[in-house]
Amino acid sequence: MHDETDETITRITAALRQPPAVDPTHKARVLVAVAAERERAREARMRAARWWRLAGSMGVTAAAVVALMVWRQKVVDSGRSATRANAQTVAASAPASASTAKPAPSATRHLAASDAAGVAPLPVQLVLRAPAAHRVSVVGDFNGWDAHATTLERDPASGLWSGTVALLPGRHVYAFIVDDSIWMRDPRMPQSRDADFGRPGSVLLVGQP
Amino acid sequence: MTRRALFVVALALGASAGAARVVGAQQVAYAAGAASLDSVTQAALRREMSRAQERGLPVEPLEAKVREGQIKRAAPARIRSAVTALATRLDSARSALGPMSNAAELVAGADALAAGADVGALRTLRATGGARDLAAPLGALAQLVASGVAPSRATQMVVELLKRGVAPREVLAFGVAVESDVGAGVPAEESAVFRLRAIESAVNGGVSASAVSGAYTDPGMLNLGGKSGTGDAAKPKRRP
Repeated sequence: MHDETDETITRITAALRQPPAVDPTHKARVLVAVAAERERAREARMRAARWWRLAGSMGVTAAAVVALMVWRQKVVDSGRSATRANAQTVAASAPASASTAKPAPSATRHLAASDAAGVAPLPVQLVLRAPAAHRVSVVGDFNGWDAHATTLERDPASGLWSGTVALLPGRHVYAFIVDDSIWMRDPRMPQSRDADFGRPGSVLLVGQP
Repeated sequence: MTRRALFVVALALGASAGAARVVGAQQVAYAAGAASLDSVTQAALRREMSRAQERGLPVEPLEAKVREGQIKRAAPARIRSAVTALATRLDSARSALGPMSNAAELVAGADALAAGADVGALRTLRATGGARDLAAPLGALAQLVASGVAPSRATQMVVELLKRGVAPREVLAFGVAVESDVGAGVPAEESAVFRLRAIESAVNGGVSASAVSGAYTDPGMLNLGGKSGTGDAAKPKRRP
């Protein structure tokens, strides 16, 4: 009895161990599905890699932009410092430094000294009384109307802002820019006309006898 | 994964924009005060500059004119118009002075045209001066005409100085002196004639023209009052 039972169990076990008959088309479909899934996963990985590469390059670009801005700011600051240094030098020893001080690049109004042999720039001090101002710069034909080119120094005791620029002999038009926003003519000088823009400045005659 | 990547990109861009704003704070301060130009105006100005460059004209005066308009907060149309007008004057000056003229001569020539001189005056100066640098004579011409001297008379005077070989420094001093006199109330032509005579006698006597010119401007001699400059608005007046 016991042997018969064991034999039955063995037969059943053997029968169960036999893999079920599978339709070959089903098997193929499963393999295709697995392959497709693998492909999808690979594409997802590649897509992610592409995004990371893009993010990386944009990050590098952003860093480059920041670095460029920092560099540009340093250049502007060094230019301002150089302008201040020049002004102080010219003010301290006008005749000596006048020959070394270069004229501003675009003295467009009545610029009449392309032959440097005959005409040298002269140091001219510009002064404005503005005790409450935080920053004063000068714009004019001699600095190409660049508000960053010529900043004035404040004397804390008097509230006077002053700077010295090297100007070619002739007629120059200029104005002060107070606190980066206020256009101010030089109250000590005559007013210019401005046919182009209708905003008069002040007239400065350099080299008058 | 994709969302995370987008988040990182957005974060990086935001951080860079913020950093740039902080770094450029000092610079932006004035830019906010100057008039900004719309893209149409910018494109038009770029075209104008390119045309000028192609014609061999100096671009720097045009760029300075743009900055001047911006700093004066002029309307974009007005800036375009001013730049175009200046380019036209530079072109006319080049036509009159010749293709070998340097940038300073062209700028001074354009100034003379703006003041009221004509291209004939520029041609006359070139014919008289030959290959000499005419920046100073042209600057003086512009100043004389702007001060109220008739263009034909001013041209004659500057031609006279050129013929006598007066140095550029003296020629400039002549223009400055006349404008200064006019600001002090002296009639323009009267001042110009006296100043010219002083220079001529200085040249004839071998004395520095500016030295004589300085003696001539003695306020006590002419009762000028010693003004330090002159305004455009000042018109030649009769002395009492």
